[in-house]
Amino acid sequence: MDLGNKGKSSVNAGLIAGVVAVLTVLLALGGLLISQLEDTVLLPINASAESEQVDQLFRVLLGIGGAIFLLVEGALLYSIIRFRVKKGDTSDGPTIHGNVTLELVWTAIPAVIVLFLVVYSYQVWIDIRAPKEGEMVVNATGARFAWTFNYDLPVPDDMVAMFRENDLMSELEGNEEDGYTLNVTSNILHVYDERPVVMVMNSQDVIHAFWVPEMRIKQDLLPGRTTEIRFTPIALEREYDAEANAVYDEAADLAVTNYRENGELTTLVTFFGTDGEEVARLLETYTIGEFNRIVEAVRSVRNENPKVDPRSTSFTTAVKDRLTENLQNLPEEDMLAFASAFGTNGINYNQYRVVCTELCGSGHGAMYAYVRVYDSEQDYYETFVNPTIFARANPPDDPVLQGAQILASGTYPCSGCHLLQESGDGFTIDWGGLTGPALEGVGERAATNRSNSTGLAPEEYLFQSLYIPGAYLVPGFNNLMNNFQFGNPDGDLYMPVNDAKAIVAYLCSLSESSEYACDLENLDAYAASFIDDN
Amino acid sequence: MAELTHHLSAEQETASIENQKFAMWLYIASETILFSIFIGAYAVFRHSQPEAVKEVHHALGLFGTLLVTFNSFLLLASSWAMVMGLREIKRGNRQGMIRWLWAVAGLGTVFVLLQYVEYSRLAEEGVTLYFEGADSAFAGFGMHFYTPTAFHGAHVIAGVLWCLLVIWKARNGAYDGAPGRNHAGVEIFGLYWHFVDVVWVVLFTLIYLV
Amino acid sequence: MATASYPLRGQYVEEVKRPKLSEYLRWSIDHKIIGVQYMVTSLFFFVIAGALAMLIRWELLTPQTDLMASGSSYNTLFSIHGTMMIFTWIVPMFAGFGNYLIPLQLGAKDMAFPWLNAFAFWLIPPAGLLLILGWFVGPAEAGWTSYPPLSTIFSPDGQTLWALSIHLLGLSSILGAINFIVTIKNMRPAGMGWFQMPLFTWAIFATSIIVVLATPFLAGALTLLILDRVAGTTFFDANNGGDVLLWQNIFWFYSHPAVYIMVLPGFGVLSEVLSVHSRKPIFGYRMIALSSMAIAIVGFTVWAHHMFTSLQPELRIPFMITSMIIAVPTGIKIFSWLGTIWGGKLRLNSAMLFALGFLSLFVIGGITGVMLASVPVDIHMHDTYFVVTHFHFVLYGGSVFGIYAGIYHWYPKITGRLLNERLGKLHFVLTYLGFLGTFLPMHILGMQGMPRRVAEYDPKFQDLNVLVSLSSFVLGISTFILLYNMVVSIYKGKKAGANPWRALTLEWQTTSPPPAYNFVGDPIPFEDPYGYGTEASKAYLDAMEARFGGKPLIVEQSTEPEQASGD
Repeated sequence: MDLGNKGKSSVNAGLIAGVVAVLTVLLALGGLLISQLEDTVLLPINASAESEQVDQLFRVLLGIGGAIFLLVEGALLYSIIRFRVKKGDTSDGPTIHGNVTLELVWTAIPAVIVLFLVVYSYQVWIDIRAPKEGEMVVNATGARFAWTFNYDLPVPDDMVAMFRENDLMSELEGNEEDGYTLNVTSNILHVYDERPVVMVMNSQDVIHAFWVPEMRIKQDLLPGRTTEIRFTPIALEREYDAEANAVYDEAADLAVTNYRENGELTTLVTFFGTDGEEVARLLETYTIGEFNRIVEAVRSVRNENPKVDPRSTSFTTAVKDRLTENLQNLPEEDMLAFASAFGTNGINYNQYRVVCTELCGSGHGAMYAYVRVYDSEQDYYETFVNPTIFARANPPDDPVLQGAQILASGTYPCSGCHLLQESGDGFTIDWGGLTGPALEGVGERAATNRSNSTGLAPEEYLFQSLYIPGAYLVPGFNNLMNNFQFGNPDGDLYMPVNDAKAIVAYLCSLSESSEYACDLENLDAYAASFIDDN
Repeated sequence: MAELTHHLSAEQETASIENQKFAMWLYIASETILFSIFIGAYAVFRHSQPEAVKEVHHALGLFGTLLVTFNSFLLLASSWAMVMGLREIKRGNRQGMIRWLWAVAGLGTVFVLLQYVEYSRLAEEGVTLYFEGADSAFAGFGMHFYTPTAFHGAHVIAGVLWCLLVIWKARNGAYDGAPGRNHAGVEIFGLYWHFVDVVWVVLFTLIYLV
Repeated sequence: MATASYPLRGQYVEEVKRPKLSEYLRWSIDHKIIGVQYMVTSLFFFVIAGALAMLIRWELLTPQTDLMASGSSYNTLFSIHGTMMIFTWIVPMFAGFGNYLIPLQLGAKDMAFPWLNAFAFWLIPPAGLLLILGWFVGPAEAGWTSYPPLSTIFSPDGQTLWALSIHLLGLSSILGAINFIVTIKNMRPAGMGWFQMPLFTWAIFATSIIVVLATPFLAGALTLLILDRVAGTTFFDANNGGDVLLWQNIFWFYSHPAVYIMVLPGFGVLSEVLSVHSRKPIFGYRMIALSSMAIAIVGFTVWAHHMFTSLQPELRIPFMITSMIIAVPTGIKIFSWLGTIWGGKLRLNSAMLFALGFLSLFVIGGITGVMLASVPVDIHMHDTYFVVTHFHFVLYGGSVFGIYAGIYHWYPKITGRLLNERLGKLHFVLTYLGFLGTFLPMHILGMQGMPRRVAEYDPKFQDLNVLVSLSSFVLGISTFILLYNMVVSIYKGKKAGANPWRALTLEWQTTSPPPAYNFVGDPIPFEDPYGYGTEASKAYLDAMEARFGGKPLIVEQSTEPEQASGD
């Protein structure tokens, strides 16, 4: 095909038109095929409403790009094969300088395509950005190197009564008329199916960025500014997971054992949610042997029929069938309670990573958190909201446990820099940070090495390390830790002294032997004088 | 390896002057952009913190403002001297040009010295390069002010040194020869000097007049 | 001036001896020496920056941070890798090509300002040294983009050295560009109007305009950064009256045009190589020349597409529009190059292979670029491996392949010897396959959720990362094949003669290497630098051949050692 020829005969023009038509169809088909890759290999699952629009746009881009790819690479390959010089041929090629028509066409067509892409992208952008009705506001803070998410949870009346009973009304905001809310901080982002969310975000130090790949949303956190990002999560079906069941069952057993030992209702409520109180009642009502047998029956029915709702009659009937005679006449109420508490696998959410994508320093790769999309509003309340409010209304008396729960909640951004893996009554700490000293066994070290180096009692050293970490640097580490402050409740990095004391009590307890306990009375005295001095 | 210095034909000489002038214009273009970044930063600051600017003007007082105005006239006068000097060498009058160029260098030097005086007064009043603190009345004026003006001052100093070089070369006969044909070096310097003056006019207007 | 279109017959020109090694190691105002100095220095930094990339890929074989002592050390690796590749490899390498070739392509004895030329080069070694010195005081670790406040408040002293180093490199760049612009505008021979210039010259011209107008923005940003770091100013400190977005805007106002600084000369090389080795004129010469200028201009309007997740949301759409628009002139070029080779007589030697490779890879980078221009899609892809692979496709698949093509094409002119073709083809195959294995999977990594600039990642990405790393080791090794070839061929390569490719541009109408004064007598350009296929061009080339003697090699080279010509 000689490009330079302005074909005068109609045969030539017809041939060219035909070739162009066939090529166009082939390219379009090829592009379409390539665009299907998007679903299979390229982009992750769709966990937000926005992601579906973005993916569709991407599919179009991929299709058009694919067609162009085929055209260019095809022409290239064809040229290399067809127009390669024959051996011994030393002559030149034809003197063709251009073809105005062709050049106009290959300027105009891309221009039109680009115009289309601009308009389409603009429409998607406007849709994604627009504020939605009934948005839930979550405040997020990025700090080197952890995320904290802050919620204002509405407190139902019966829980308000608990706060009142325990003289903790100061924890709540609001009033009798408009209702009360509780301000809660967590290192997990809790959202639920089809409830639009708007993240209001701030950075404490450098630029960070919030990204959930499965949701296709990203926004930088800029120091000195507040930025926003919107999304509407979508709950997705999950595969039955025997391993997750096993883990859940183990944890359930642990919660029950703990309750038997310490009698703290919080332990059960934290794990079982609203079912917790019922479980407590059941534990009082049945013997250990009976209790265990019923639970076993419930679990075996669940494992064989994972998709059946535990509260349905078919489920409870199946359970009854597996029980021995004396338990066959279980009251309906109790049966439902057993089924509800032990018949689910407890995982009523999909979990994804929240990734920091703006280089923020040495812990940049470690700075991720999790977002949980609960299956429904009810799941959200039962698994997150209510147990959290309950725990705050009924704080444990034991300061060690209190400290553990504070750390586990992610109220303070420790996870990005410290290594600690512990779990216990109603808490799990799973921190993998490497920028700062590991906290495994810190109680022992505080009482020996650190105490020797600083001349402070272990509880004093730990307390000081929270507020003035630079006063003593563990050898091999730099002065990178945030300075928490106790003076300004509205300021950044506020850590009330009571929280600090509880945290110290817990950290003190982290050691192999119980030889290294903290002197909590000394801690109180030290804290008081510390506040005076600073 | 052949040296590339050989006598140029008349045509090549003109080409050389043209080349050098064109190059200087290109260099001035890039410097203009660089200055405009600092000037732009000042303009944005001025727009968002007009009270701070007022405070500084107040602190400067009448004397300070008059000083700077006088200084600006000095620089304008030096540009005029430059024009005179170029005219002389185009006529082949080496001595005349050297006299005018001494005036340029002298006026430039006085400008720098008086700017130093101005800086001292501002520093006494508490206008610092580093950020003084959120509660300072001057609120970051210092860094937005000192950056473009000090940058300009550095260019004036470089210009004065260049001027001395031109004078030295003139005395060694570098611009002698057919009148109107050998003065490329002087003209290039002139372009640079006028550019420095224009930058000052913009700075002066933006910082003190508006 | 002579009016004949070919020079007098019978004026035989002897072969010229290559300059001694010592001449390259000291100050010289000969543009040919300076050009080689630029190129060798750039290759040196290419190897160092490449080694850093190998360390990066080694670290990324596992999801944990194990090779590097800490996240900080890893951050230094890619910060210096990126900085060196941009400022001490691609930019000065093309400056080297420009320095060597522009006076030759214009028939001139040297650049307009030979002294300034040398001065601009000699700024580079100290700048490189500053960058390396940073190692001893705590090196830069904020990425080549150096965003504050990470780069101001949270970075060690090496960051200041980094900024000073780039200042010097920027100055070098500007001085070189001024030289190019004046030379090209004012020193063309009679008969060479703007639209009779070789396209490589056009490319350098467009590039130099961008350099003069854009680099001062970088200088301004760096100055403010240095002041913030050493003088207590707070231009970028949000807690004290500053603004972090100020840095991003000024920085990217330079750094986006900078990518055109890096790729336009590559386009120029491509035009030369494709035309010569297809023995066909450039298809749409004017459009290629003008589209380079269009890209240069529009390139100044797109910068905030690097800031789609930080810029105020209302302001993002205009940059999407301009970023999409710039695809059009780029597309014109690609189609024009396809039109050039279509119907030609392709000699698939190493230079041509890399040029064709450039075409095949650059179009992919262009396609992913259009994807990134769309705001909703970029929101997902920004700061992920998708962006990393996009720019490696256009900078490695594009610019570096262009540099390789240029090396194979012009090495004979510079040294008088041909590079070994067998090694050249091996180099090409390993580079091309290594490149694809390294950078294709990164698209998936980015889309699936792997961010950039991390030493630890979600373990589910490990398999792809291993594939990428192993391929990158192949890519790294392939570089040494070229370097070996370049060194050995100086002594053992076949003699090239004046015009081994029988090309029409002026640099080929003199000996290889050219004499100190470049040409004997006044060189007469052929009326059309790409006028292959006509009787007139044949006559011109025959006359030149007679002048410089020796049988030129124009058939496609076999990989067997041939009887050397003219030995």
